[in-house]
Amino acid sequence: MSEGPLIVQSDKTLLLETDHPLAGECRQAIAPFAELERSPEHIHTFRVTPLGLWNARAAGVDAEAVVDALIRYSRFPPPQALLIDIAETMDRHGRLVLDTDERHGLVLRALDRAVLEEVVRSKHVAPLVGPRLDDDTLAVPASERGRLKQALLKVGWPAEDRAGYVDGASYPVALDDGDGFRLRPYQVEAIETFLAAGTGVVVLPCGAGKTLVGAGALARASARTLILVTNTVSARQWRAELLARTSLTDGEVGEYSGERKEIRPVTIATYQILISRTKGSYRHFGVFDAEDWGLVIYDEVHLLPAPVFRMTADIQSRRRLGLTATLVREDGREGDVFSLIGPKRYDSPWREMEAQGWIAPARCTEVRVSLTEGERMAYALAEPEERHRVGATAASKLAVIEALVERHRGEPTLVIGMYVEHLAEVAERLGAPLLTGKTPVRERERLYAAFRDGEEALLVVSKVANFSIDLPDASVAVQVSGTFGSRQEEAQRLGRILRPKADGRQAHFYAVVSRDTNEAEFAARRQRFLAEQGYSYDITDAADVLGGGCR
Amino acid sequence: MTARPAHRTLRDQLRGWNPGQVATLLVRRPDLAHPQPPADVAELAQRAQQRPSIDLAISATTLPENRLLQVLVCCRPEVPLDELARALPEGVGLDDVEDVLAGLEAAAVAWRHGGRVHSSGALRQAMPTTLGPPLHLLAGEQNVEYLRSAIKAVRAALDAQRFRGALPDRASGPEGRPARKAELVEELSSLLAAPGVVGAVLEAAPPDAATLASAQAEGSPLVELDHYLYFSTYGPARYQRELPVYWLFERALLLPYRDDLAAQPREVGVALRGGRPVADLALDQPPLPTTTSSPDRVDADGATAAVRTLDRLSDLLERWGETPAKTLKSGGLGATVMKQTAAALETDLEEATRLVELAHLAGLVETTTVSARQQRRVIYESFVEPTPAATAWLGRPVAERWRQLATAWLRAEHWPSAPGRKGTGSGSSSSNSSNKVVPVLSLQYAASAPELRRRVLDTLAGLAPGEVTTADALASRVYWVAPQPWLGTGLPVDRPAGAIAWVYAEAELLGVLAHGSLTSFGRALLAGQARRAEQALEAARPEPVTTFTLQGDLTATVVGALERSVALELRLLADVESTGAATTLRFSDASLRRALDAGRDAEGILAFLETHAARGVPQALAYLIADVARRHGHLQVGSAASFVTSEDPAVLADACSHRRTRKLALRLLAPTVAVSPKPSTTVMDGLRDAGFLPTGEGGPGGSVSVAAADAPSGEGRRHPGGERERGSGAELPEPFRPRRGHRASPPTLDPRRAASLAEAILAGPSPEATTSPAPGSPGKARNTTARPSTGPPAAPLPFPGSPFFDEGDGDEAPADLRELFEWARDRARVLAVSLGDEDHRAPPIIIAVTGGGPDGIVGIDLEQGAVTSVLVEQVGVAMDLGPIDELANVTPLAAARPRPGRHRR
Repeated sequence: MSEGPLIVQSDKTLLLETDHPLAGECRQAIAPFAELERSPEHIHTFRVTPLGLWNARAAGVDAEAVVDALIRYSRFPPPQALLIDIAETMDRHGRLVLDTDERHGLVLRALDRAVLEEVVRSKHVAPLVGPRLDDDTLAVPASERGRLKQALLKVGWPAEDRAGYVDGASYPVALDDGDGFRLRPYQVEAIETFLAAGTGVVVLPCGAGKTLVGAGALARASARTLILVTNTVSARQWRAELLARTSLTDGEVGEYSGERKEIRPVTIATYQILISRTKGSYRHFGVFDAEDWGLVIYDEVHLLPAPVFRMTADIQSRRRLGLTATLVREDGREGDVFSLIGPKRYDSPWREMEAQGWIAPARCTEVRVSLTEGERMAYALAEPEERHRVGATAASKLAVIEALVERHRGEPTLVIGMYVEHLAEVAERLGAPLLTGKTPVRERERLYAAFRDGEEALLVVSKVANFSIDLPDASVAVQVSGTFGSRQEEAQRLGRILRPKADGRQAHFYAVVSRDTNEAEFAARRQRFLAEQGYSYDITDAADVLGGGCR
Repeated sequence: MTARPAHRTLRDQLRGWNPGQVATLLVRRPDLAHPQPPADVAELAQRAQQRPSIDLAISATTLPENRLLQVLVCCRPEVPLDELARALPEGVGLDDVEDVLAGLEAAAVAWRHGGRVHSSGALRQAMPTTLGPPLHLLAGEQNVEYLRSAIKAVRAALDAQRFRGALPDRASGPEGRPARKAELVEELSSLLAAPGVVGAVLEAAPPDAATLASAQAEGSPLVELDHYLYFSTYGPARYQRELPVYWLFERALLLPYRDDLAAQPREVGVALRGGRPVADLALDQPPLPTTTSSPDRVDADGATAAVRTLDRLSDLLERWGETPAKTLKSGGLGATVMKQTAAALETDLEEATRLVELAHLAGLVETTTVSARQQRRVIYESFVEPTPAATAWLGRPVAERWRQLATAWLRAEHWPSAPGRKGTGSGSSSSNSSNKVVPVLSLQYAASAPELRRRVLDTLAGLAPGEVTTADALASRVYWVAPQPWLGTGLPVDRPAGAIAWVYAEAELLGVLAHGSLTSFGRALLAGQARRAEQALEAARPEPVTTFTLQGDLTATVVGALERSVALELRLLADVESTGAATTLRFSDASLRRALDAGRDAEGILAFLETHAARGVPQALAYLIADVARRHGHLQVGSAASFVTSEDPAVLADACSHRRTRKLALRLLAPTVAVSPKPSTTVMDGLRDAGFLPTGEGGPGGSVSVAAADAPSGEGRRHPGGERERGSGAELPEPFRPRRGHRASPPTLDPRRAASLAEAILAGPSPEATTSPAPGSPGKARNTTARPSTGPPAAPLPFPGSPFFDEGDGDEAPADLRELFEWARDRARVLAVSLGDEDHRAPPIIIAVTGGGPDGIVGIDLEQGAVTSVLVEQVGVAMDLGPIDELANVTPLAAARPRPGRHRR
């Protein structure tokens, strides 16, 4: 019996003991095919899923290597059934190949005739393929390339896409490595792996410089590029970053959003504008065909709206780069990301990056506020749909928020919340500017600039802060109320304060929670998520914060 | 039958044998010397040709011996050697089968004399072949007209084909009278057996008939008939005319067999197989290729599996102790109950089935019937629940628990893996074609199971420790060594592969087998060395883990097998999320609340976690525990039937403490409120009696009163004494049903004793000195079928050849009741047990002991035919009557069947 660090469970989870001397080596070996599910302090849980296995297969890892890794590092003999299942699952990938034939164009070629017979009889696949060319080959209309891949994934026989990509209109761009700027090694690695494959997703945590990976890819591809981002603010930040870090100039980067409709060699479009409909039709999908794009970059792939997937299915011949902090989608459409954007090409666990100093370690603290008798009564008597709001906006929180802000006076601090009225109250009490969805873009940008420059050390922000804004110097975040604990939202919030701090300061994340309300339940979910992500998580009582004063 | 002038009897043959040959025969067929050795050669020969003994001899043949016997019975009696040579498979000569034939001779099932091979008529009847029954058995059922017509039809067909071969003469009766039936059958048999005849007749057959005939010769000789097949002197009925079966029937190439089946006569089958009844004699023993595995690892993993199984069984008993499992109306446990059980045991349905069946085999659970009155009807409900013996079992050390379980399994006349799947059928019934799922615990007896199991395990035991072979290779080998037991056992397969898979799965579950190799403790158990087996398991057993890792995401991770007490407590505190080599559990509000409900408190929980958490208790978990404990118990719920209020606390206090209201059991909840478990009318009356002046609350008749909540179903396991019944209704398991005339496992004979017996037999009958009874065998010579007379507790008298004779443990007579119980359980004995003390002694119950332990036995009440259990405290006198094997035959089977509606009071 070996004394390995890994325990393979029959439900396809892998438990990795992190204190084990071989833990690092083992993690390296299983990372290509297993998704890290939880990484609390001692034992990390990975899960082996068919998608994960196919991702690995797409990256050139074969079943033998997977089984070998499991056996080599496993403490107990892995369940035989699981090993067989892994081999069989991986074997399903690549039995069908999408290829380009000189005479017939796009074809679906089978390495296993029986599989081809099986899939053409599927009602999902049949409408997407053309006539039979020979026993092993089917013609495929070029327009169905994406949908066919989706359908094949659905029937459990994912195809390998070797049909290649068009180069698009060339447009030379160079990275501007002035004033000591250089891509970090992992960013370079991510770009290289992506370019070798042509399509795929790079998974990096918030603050690890995903924008720069995009910029790097753009420079290496040197082609006209379409960048899809979540919202206008994010679009401006991409633009600023591209202007600062590449040879691109103001006139070469266009914005395609609700306000402006510019198509330039490098165009940044928002998801919002793409999915806005007039009389039931998507009027702005034309952007995809407006230029001969050589590269399409999808920011925050995990938020990609469903219509954009549909659009993406039509541009399968273009190079596509997905950027995200997590492949987990709240709507469970990981499979669409896999088949339409591409398999995962690069992944780096948060904690490792943190250990390398690319992300500042954050401390998470949950502060529990006891409500007054009156507040408890108000909560108890509130209508069910009002309860969460009543609990979350209790006045007793104000003193605690104030004390927390006071504790970190001078450090860039964000107070984040959900209920605008409550936030207004908080802002007034703290004497800080308030940013909500109604704040004009110009004003928002001014405040962000002021915050970045250190003129403003404290901002109170509503949900807008949830999306890809860039506040490099926020080192304290106080969450006063949150929506319903979705995992991606938590990842975002933490991302706010995870960015490397110039002076190596400790980052803090506080969640202020009303005791004995359903907020506590949401807090419990957040706690689980953060603990699973490997953060230290403390719980303190409001009395300690109020009594302790400034540390 | 016609005379057999060339026949040499076995008696004459045996007279010429030397003592060594006789001794070999006795060793090979020990039943011949059992229970008393034969007095002389004549008796030996007679015994050797009796059907039960022949059956045993056939089941002990190897595959080539078996096949050669098939060839022999397909040839004519006293077959000349050259004719036998022609019937052997292509390319096999007499020299090649010399050893095989010699083996059959040594077993006295065939013997050579005067250039012929002889065999007994009993063998010809008993020996199963892949061909149909001989023509004389089938044709004997037909009338003379048919026989004449068939002979005529065959001869006409031969004439039409201008057949040139030799044909037997036409039959004639004695003194020139017309041939009688026997002669006609003889003629027809010889006619069809004559070389070339069947082929010639079939030449003219319609294609359908020819295809059917050759299919019958290749595959099963039986065909199912859609219509009754009969012969009429007026010619075939209209519907028969076109039928291929009728064409064949007209020419005696197919005859009605039994029920709605028709069979191809053996002679026809042999002819269609080209005169060679068997295609392959399988003369070479199939190899048993092996690979090696580390014996230590085999032992370690086997022990882990064994402990895991014991833990699961403990869980099962605990679960069913709280809520007994309800059986189906037709008996056995249904799919729903089994699914719940599997989920609770964290395993799959197949394994849960095996576990439940094992628990039953070991006497840990039993079916109980409870009657309840519903209005005027009495309804019966059956439950499976732990036996009293299970409590005792749970208290024993791990190794002992395992030994009892594994022993019960080794002996079980049942396949624990069989239930829960479709169309397995039972070993005892021939109409097993039903495709219904066999419910768990519906007890399908398979009398051959212990023997087959043993064969597989013994073959594995023949490998060195750590040597592993494949199940396929093992199956071929086991089948080659003795094919007969695997045939016609009612298993889903006729080949051993299916049964071997079951043996493997069950043995792996019990830790007898791991990685395809026997564990050292499994090996010791098979060798009958119970103590050594227990010690070996104890040594190999993984050191139980007592620590786990707690993490900030509120999980606990246990690597390896947690000590049971710790595991139980942890499982109370947290819910299992994932199992395998490690177990992860999650703490939640609900799980902690459950622990608090079970009487734990926050300090206790924390203390427990701190003791066992290897890396400390994370702050988040400590907070959660404190939080849940703080909220727990804010509201308390109790039950009361009525309440009493008063605006004057003094009056109420007085009412509560008054001597005359004591029977009302009033309890003060607050100064002005008291509750009573009695209904409000009783409380009113009681208070009035005591001199108070109560009024009812609310409107007229609206005084608050809660109806008594306890419905009979709420009684849980407490079956009211008089209503508990055993052995009633259709839910009962089938009665213990031993096979007649065939022992599950034949006795064996020590070669030295065989040698001395052989001398005595050849010497012929003599005074008693030569026929000394076997040591330990019942003193009275032939009288084995009589039930032993009653008397004081008899010394146990196992005969040395008994399959259950546990040589490894020594065999001292049990000293007291507890020892007797264990002794009887380990050796499968029948006990007579009298309940009650000296003054009130009940009539004895005769129990075939199948399980239990020193504190009580579980077994089958042979008179009631029901599973029963008896505790040591209840017993006045107990007495051993003999091994189950012997005595169950004696017990009238009619009495052993359940009689619905008859209950013992």
